[in-house]
Amino acid sequence: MTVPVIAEPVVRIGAFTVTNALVNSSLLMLAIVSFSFWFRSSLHKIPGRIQNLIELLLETMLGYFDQVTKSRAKSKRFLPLVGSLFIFILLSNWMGLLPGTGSIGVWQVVHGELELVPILRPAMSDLNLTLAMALLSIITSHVLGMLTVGFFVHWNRFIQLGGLWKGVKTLNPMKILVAMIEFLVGLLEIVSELAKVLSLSLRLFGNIFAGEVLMTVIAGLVSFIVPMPFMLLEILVGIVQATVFSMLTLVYLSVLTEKPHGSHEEHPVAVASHA
Amino acid sequence: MSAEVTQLAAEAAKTDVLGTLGINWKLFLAQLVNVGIVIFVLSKWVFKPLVKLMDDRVKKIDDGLAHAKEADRRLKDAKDKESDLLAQARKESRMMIDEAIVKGEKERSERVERSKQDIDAQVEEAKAKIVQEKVDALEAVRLEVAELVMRATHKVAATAADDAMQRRYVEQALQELEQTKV
Repeated sequence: MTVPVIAEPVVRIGAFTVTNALVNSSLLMLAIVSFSFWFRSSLHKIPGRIQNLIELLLETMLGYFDQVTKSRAKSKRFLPLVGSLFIFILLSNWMGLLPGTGSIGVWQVVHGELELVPILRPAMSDLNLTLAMALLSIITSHVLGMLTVGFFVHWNRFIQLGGLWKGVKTLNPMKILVAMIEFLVGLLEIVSELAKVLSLSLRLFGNIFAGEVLMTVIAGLVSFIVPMPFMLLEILVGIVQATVFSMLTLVYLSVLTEKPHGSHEEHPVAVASHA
Repeated sequence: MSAEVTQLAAEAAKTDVLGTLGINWKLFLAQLVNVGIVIFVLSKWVFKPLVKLMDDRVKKIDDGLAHAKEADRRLKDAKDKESDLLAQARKESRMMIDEAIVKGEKERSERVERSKQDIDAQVEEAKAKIVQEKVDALEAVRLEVAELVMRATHKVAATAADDAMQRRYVEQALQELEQTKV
């Protein structure tokens, strides 16, 4: 039994092909919606056990967020996106470890051979999902950045025409050189923004896909007891990957919603050249 | 049908890099919708109400602590005021008691003095009365005695003396009695 890189089609609804990873993410989405609906209606000033647990989780998350944002107000502002991503990724990763995922399926003829196509596959082992989340994170960070620091200040991080023009106006060769270097660095920042999307999506996809392959191989070799340590490892990987993805998103959000250094002051190198 | 779909996917994979990695814009949008729904629902039904609830609770606790602190301060002020008032009242009551004692003592002295004067006046009056009564008694006794003497003399001298003699004896007796009185 093999685990293909691409999520396998399970059913076709009109022109739309439903993959096993989409089934997993949809089931999780429905579970989260149901739980949230129930939770909203059972919210009380004096918390019950489950509300206490969720409050504890929320307080812990906000505590970690504060270490990055250095501000409780910012942490609360980013909580809906980052917290939701963390919970979705974590539960999705753990859901992939439930019995039946990867083992219950339908027999189909693939490339001329009869193969068992699983109905459920870890949602994060589909690059479509990880890429969607990464793009959402990066686009949101840019939108919030523009809304917070202003359109021109935000895009001046990447296309530093203002600095270049100021440098040219001084007719100081050193300042012009520094401005050109900063302009080129700004262009490189655009490339790094694309790299963020790729690194976020591929890291999560790679780790979860590798875990799924590992679990399949181990379970194929020995079905009982032996896969247990690996399952424990996958539980940890699930936590680590959810944390990494959400914390990196938080870092991007924090950085892009802060005013860039020296946006209202002369560049230190330029000051030094004056001296 | 499934084999057909797999074949289509395989064909897509041959055509471009994204296809090779399994990127399909329809699946991408479907997954994006799933993530969007999760973020929206968690944000709307879990995070925002819970954060508001926790903030309200923190505010309530802070207010409660501030109120408790204020109540402690007011209680301390009230206790201080109470002790001040009690001290003042004690001082005033002591002054009033002292004043009353002095006043009472003065009143008692006056009354005692007045009583003494009344008693002295009564005693004097009684003494005068006694003296008067004594004088009256003596006069009555003198008259009685004179009468008795006169009767006795009359009886004794009825036979032996004449009237002139009797009168002389009587006068003599009266003189003696007068001297005796003085």
